[in-house]
Amino acid sequence: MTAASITRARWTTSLLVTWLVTSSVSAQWAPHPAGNVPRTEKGDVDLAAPAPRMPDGTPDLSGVWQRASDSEDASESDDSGNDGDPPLATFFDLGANLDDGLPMRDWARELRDQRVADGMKDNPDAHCLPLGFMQFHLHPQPRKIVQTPELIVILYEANYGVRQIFTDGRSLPGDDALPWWYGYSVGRWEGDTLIVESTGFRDGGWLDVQGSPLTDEAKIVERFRRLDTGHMQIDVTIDDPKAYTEPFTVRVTHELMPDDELIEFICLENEQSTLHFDE
Amino acid sequence: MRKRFAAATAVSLMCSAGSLPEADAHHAFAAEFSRDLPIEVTGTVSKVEWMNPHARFYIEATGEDGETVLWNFELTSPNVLMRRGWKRDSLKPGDKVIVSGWRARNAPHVGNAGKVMLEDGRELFTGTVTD
Repeated sequence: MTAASITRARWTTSLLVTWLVTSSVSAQWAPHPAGNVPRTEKGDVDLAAPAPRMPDGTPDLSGVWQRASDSEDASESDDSGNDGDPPLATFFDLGANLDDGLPMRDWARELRDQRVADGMKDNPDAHCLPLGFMQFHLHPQPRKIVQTPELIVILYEANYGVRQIFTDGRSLPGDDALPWWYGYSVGRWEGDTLIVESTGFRDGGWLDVQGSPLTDEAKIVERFRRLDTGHMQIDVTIDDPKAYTEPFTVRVTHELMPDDELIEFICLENEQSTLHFDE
Repeated sequence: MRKRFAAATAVSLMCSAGSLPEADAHHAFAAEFSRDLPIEVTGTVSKVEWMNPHARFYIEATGEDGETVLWNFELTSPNVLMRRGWKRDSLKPGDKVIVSGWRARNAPHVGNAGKVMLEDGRELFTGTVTD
């Protein structure tokens, strides 16, 4: 491509001043201190303080959370699976830190491989449809947990997703329930751990960006633990006998985004990318 | 020019090493673009779209035959850009820029902006992840 209206000489003589960014607070709402977190004498959120609690004594998971930086790619230094802890889940390939990868059945592996060969163009996210279950947990855009005694809502900035976890004692719906993108979720507390069971997923799901399948036979159990004010740990066990030969468990780690807020994300307002996908 | 872009690359990596949210992943890079189609376009910004799922800007450049070509460049989402320090006027019509990135496989003048350098030497975060 040839140069347009500016000369290379001007560019060459200009100083390279890269735009360094230091603030983590979004430039939307003015910063407003969250009310449910402990603070230091200076007023900063005390990320290492014990997790805040609800009036009934259960941990309060509320807050805006982002995935920890170790959730992007497989980690050569990840030894989380060697001491009894689950291996860390990763965004693109959920099983990258499992010794043998995800225990896929042959058809599932072939489907995943085909999805990769197609440039992952059929990922629902790319078409402004809800992200896969684990993509929501691992997406770089944050999520906001709103906790009440009987209902926990997770608002996902990515694709403006919303998930309800009922903690009012109800049971999961029966097999005749209409399958949902997010499934149906009920939760209960065991000590300081929130146990969430989910079923009723639509068939043909994408667990990760590469398209590891999730089927309508899946049952997922998540164990949420707020380790301290600033850190969340979620161990996720996926039992999907239609696509996988055995259940497997991975760990998700989140970090609090103090006094931050979600930003609106209306995916279809200017979606153009799919116009340039291969047929 | 090559040396300047090499330097910019090193600094960009430093910028992305913090704890801020990283690039958007609305769709995989490979779904739309090809690393085998690198491009470098110099021109003038004609429009900026602060919309989802990707912020976009359009620049007028001169084609190989001397004609004016309108390029459509994709960035990450407005959400990620704002968290990385972009302001609504960080890039605006009339700005002269050098953009390096990758072309869409199926559209000759649509690109993924890997690096955007302004006339004053500032380099803007773009959020590109090439899988």
